[in-house]
Amino acid sequence: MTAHDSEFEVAANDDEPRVADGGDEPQATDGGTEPLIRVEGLHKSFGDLEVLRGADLSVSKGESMVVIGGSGTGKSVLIKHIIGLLRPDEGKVTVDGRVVAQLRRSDLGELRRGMGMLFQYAALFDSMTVGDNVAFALRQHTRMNAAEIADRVEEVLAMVGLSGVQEKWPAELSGGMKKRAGLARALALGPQIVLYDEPTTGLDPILADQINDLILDFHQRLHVTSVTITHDMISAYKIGDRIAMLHEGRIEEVGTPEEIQNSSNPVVQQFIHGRAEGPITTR
Amino acid sequence: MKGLIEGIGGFVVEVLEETGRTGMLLLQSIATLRRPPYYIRVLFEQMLEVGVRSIPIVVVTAVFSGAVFALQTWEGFESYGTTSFVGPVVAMAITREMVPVLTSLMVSGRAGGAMAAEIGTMVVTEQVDALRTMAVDPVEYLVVPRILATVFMLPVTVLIGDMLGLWGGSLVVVNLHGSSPTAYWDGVWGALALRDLNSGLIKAAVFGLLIALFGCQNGFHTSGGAQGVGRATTRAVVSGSMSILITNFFLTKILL
Repeated sequence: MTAHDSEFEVAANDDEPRVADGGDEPQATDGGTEPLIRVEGLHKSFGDLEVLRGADLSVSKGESMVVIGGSGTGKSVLIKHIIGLLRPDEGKVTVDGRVVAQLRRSDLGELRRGMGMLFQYAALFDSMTVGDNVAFALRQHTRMNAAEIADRVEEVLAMVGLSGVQEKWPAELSGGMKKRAGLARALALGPQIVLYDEPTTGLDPILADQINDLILDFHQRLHVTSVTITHDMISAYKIGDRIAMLHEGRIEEVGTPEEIQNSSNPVVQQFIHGRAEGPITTR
Repeated sequence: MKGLIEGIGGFVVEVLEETGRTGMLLLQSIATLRRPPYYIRVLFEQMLEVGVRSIPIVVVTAVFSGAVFALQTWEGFESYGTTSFVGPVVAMAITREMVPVLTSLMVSGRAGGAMAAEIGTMVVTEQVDALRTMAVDPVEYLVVPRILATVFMLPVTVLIGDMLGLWGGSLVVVNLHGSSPTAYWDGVWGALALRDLNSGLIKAAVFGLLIALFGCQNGFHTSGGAQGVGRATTRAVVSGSMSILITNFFLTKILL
């Protein structure tokens, strides 16, 4: 089943994601090959709180997928399933043909070494310098010597515009610098998949745009597949090949930025325009 | 009445849950010990933290415990004219009970609390998740080095504390009451058997295991923000201390 097939089929079901109005079928960027990341019927609850209620999502190789949705709708929960930080109650997440929750410890480790994740507040290790943070995964998983690691750290820090901060401590960095350092750490091992958890949250518009540019730059230069969760629509339109809206535990709609902007779905329209009144707040 | 029963029931369930989680963490740690990677640098950092940096509180605890115990026993024994037994009694009390238990309680407050606070902060700031995403097992990286460091370093600090406690006793017996130093130290060395020292050191190793397990376990189960970290730290110190006092009874029974 191709990426096109899977999403086109489920569009017939009201409980499943609908294809945006702007196109007959979703625009997979890989010409219809098997998705690199596939989320199928994902359910997750925490106690009595049902967060995900059958979320489905396909991300093709090389695609930049942005998942939007209100606060507390389960965007972070979704992304944590992709990298195996959470186990589904029902449904499954497949990455590169492997079901994440069924992987053995060593296989999960191998999968994670091919992925990088930028956390909402960067999650830098505050007991280490920035240089040690970026070097951390290199020391754990490569046979590089100290000089090679130092070169690689300098290289990835330069990529995010943070040359020469190796000796600084995370507490000495501004919010934007922390995000960049977190990005450098996520990219250090040269991942094929990068997950961004609210990359622009808490940043001023200019810093946010700089982070967007960095993400776009990595996407184009390094050809990584990325999944970004955000509620920043400027960011979503700028970095997303496709945008998926998560609402009430399911993917409400998937489409290109243009398709999402022109969607006739009132839920999508309320969210992307940030209106206080509408189906999201009255349901 | 119903509220009281519910309260007691809730407390019992909480204690059982925590004990279960701690037991699971111990099993996980043993399982990870069998395979690399071993984080030697982290282990040495923790040995420095738990052992070397605890020395000042061990000095104060041991010297004053020895001095106070000697003061009390001198007072009691003087009325029977048996002050020559103060040295032997101090020696046995210090090495078997006082220094191992009091030092462990102090280290529980200091190092166990710090473990819970550090790991708890890492949990709420997603640093533990970041470790996992970088394919590093948090039990291997955070828990195992802390357990090994505490199990190894607590007996070392207790051994130092034993010497200081005996010296604290001599301050009272020799310097305060003017007894002969030879008589005091002869009494101490005459009464001390290797078994007494070993008993204290074995206890210290077991208490070290409990301190690290409760510290790490409570850190991993932190939720919420700063308040959650505070609660986890308190729980780690209380649970660690309680487990030391309870385990001490059974260990004493076994080691006597």
